[in-house]
Amino acid sequence: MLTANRIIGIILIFFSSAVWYIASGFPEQGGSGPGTAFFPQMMAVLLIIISLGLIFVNPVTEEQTKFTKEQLFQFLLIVITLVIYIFLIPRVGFAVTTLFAAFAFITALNKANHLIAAVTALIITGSVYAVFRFLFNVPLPQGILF
Amino acid sequence: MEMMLHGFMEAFQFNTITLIILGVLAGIIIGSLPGLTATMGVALFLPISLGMDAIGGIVLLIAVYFGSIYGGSIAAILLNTPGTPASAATALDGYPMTKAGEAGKALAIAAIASGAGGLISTLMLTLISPQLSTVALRFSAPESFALALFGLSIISSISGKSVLKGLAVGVFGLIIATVGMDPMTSYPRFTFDQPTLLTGINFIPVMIGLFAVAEALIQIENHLKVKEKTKSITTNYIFPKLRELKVIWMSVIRSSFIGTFIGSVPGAGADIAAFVAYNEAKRFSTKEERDTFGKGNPKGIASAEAGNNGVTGGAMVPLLTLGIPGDAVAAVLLGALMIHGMRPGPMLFADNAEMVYTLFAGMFIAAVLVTIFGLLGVKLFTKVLYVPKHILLPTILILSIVGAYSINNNFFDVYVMLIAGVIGYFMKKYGFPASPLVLALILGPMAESEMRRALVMSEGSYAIFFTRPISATLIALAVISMIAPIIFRYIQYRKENKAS
Repeated sequence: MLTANRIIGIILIFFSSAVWYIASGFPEQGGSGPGTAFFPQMMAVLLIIISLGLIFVNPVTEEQTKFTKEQLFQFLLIVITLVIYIFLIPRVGFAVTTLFAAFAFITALNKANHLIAAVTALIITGSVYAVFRFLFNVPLPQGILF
Repeated sequence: MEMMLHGFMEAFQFNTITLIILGVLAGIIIGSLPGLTATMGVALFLPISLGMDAIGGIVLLIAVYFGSIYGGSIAAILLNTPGTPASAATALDGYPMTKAGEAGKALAIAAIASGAGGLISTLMLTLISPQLSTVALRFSAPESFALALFGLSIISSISGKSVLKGLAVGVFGLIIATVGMDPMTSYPRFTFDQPTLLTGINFIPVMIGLFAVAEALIQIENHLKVKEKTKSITTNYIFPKLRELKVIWMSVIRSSFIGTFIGSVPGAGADIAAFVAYNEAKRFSTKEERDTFGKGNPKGIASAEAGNNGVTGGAMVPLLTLGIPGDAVAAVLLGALMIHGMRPGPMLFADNAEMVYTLFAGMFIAAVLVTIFGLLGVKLFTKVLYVPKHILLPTILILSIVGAYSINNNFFDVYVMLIAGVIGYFMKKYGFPASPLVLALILGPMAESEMRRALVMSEGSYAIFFTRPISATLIALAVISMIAPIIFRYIQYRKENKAS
């Protein structure tokens, strides 16, 4: 059966093979001792052996309650928001994106009053911005807005 | 002694003492929130510490560490939900006491035992580590490699349920650690022509991703699956009488030593220490008393809390003297020391003695503050438990992003953090432990460069690792610590099979 362990094992074998292949193009080190490729290649072989272990031994993984369709949709929505948020920060600016992202996260996690969510988002953004920008002097990304 | 006095003078400077106070308070709050671990607290505060001088920054992180380990006991006692895994043993007797209307007493005992645990273990650290570091000063390349190998062998014991999964994560981490310029020839490895990758993958954003973002994603998943209702807390805050404290002092001292010892063994952390100390307290009790454990015996709380706080000083022993992190929190602290320009290891005591003793002084103060704040601020900290998840979790995500960014004011680190967070989420979901990855990222480069340096010394002969006594001993220890957990688990498995 194709369990999570086996899928991960197969991915790791592909990963290790790629590591081995790329490392084999590294130049030799002059003088004594192993060269540039030695350590990564040794680790790649070790990871292939362990991955085979994962595939054949298939250690027990705890059963988990499954997502319902609606929960999965909500969860993916939050993760996608996070990715878009991170992508937009350097382009649009930290303050504006954080405000919207915080609002989106809060409403996705708790279907409460939108006004309360907006105020909470404003407080979170304001305090994080103030603490890092002014107290710790971190130049937060400005983007086209601020 | 003179150094120690100087350390205290430094620690009592206005800036430093303010940071210790803030750190302990922040730590207690973080620790008391279920789901936020000590590791997460220290990882989130690390970027903040970068804006400070080395002493202030490190002392702040240590204070957060001390505070959060104690903070975990608040939720354990009041809600039966350990704030950190280390407080699971505290809940055994703490929650029954709350149900019996003795929450105030339980919380006070936890605060006193935590402070005592921290104090005793810091004292041990102050006495042991300078001696150990003089031994370590004689290390050359083969010994350093053997040491790194020993550090890596801990992976096997911090792997949780499956050693195989821990090893997979560890070796994966060792491969990731080779990204960047080769330590000997400076040839760029796996950099794909990206200049940001030349210096390798920074492990701080990786840690923030693994311990803060991944944890937040898991919590978001749980929050969506089970809509938790906030439990209401009704309790009184009557403190214990002095004579009631007399019964627990023996347990506190014994457990503090147990905690220190377990903490100093790389691989075993605060959660193990708490349970071992708890079991020992039970074993040392009279037969009648033994039955009251788990039903609200103050000794249970005292031993568990002294045990898990004892780890704090213990874990610093291998970290400061050998540069090997004993657990995940120590790994984050190791990263912090390195960013602040210090290389933990034997040279630390020679090069930065002043700083080390200020650190010790800071730890003593933090331990005392834990008790003081624990006794005075109980009502306030209880309020923290009401912070709803839908505000807490987005805040953690935002703080992680700002934190990762502010390390180098570089957005590349935020992408690294995001990737680590997503990988960490799946790792957690499928039972792959995160700590081995961090250990590998930190010790991997050390292991590789020292091994190759040693082999240049020996002109390619591997015998150099086995003919030098310290190196040979460390390698033997590494093999033992790698294999022992596997054998123990096999024996346990056989026993369970026979029983069933």
